Amino acid sequence: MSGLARDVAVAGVGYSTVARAGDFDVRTLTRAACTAAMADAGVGPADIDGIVEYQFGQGDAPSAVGAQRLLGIPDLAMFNDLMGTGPSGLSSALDAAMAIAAGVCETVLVYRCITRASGHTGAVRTGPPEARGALQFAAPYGYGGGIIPAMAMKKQRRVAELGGSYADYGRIAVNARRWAALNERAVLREPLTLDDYFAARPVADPLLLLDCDYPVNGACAVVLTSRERARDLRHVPVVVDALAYGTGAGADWLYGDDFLFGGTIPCAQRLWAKASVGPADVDVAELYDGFTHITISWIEALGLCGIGEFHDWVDDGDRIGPGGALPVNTSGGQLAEGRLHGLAFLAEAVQQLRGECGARQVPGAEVAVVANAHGPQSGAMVLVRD
Amino acid sequence: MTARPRPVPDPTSGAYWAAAGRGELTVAQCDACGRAHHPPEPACPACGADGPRPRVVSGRGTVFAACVVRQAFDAAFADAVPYHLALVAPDDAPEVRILTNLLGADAAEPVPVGTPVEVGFERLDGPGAVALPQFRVVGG
Ligand SMILES: [Zn+2]
Repeated sequence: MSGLARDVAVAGVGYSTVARAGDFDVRTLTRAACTAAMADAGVGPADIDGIVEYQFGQGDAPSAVGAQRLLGIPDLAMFNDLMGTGPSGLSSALDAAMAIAAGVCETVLVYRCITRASGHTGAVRTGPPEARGALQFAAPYGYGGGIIPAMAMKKQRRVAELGGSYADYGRIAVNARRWAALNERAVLREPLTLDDYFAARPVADPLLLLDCDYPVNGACAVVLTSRERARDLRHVPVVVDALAYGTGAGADWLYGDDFLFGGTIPCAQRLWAKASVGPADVDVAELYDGFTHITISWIEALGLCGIGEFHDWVDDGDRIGPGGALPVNTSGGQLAEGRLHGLAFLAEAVQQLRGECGARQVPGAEVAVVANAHGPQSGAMVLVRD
Repeated sequence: MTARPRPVPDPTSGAYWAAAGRGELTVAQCDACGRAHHPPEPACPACGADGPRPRVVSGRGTVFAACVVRQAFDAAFADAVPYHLALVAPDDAPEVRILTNLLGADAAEPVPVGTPVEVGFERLDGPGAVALPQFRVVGG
């Protein structure tokens, strides 16, 4: 029995082509990912009775009912368009799992389609000179780029407050490429050294270009259903053992009470309180890496090591790399596979637990933890093979 | 070049900008729980109580966190890079963080956490004139 009112499982995952450049139509990308996930699960349009999607609302993805039309799904018992402020792409799967657990629907298709253009949302301000609302305390100081300066300041503050070094951040960037070399889907597969990392252009010093994920055009989709139904489908079900959200007090990227960890710590505490397993049971961790600071935060918040202990724990990167004691971001994550904005961490975890990952397979993986976003938008899931 | 954005006061922020115009820095003080916050909001984010009031602070503080922006994310700041962005914790409201530039500091690297700073006011003249609180490194 999982931490949910009714057991839920992931039955299928799928991707569109993922590319840095080229012509694309978000409907085509979404349809490709969704069709692949449905085929992977072994379900057809009439089996899908829920759709949830997460987007910035900048034309980056079709709406849920837009996808319904693209896929010829007759009717939806549940649908939701989640815009911008949740735990990134994982929001859609969290929402779907709750709807299935609640008995509102049976089989839900979720997706995140993202484009490089829409990924710039909030990152380049060209707006009017009048700064209103929250912007009046930010824009006059040249605070732009979404959360980029916030991430730069968190990086500086973390090392000042908790110790370690900026090389810790480099370990995350280097690790992504080590795994990506084993993942044919990854966009950046060239090896990276710590020297390469430090040689990268500073975006907002001390934040370097290689602390930031790699924007692409692409889509990822996942099919969730009841565990009971999943047992009749193509693959061994990957069960949602627990899920949780967290915001932290003050809930804000700059002004929240916990500047370094945001909502990751309360989210992780809630997650483990509901899970049937604990941090020591995790075989593979797929942790958001939109910025390297986020991955380090989750490793510590989830109790994979103690707060402030990442520097020693990571063992110059060996612990989290291929063959390491705790593989992290085995697809290469968004730093190297490409920025599919959260949902691909779930898809990778599912493939790892199904033993389908070929050269990058973590032997005998049975328990995975997936976490998305940071700050006031934290969310996570524990997954176990049925 | 795009004009630099300037703040447009609203009913919640008006007292803050008015105080800045008099050369006073304020934080939003909640008398229900005793905590202060910034920017001013209609209610205290710590306890939800109505009516935080502006409280004048000394303008001295320390750097809570800082960075040097090297890539402009606002067209209006394309010619301004590199420049400092920081969160400052006022000495007399240490739970508060105030977003600011750090004037007069070498942009070669971020100003270290804990560096003492003090506020000044940058006057933005013309239509919608306003005084923008700006910190600088003490002695910098
Ligand atoms: Zn209060």
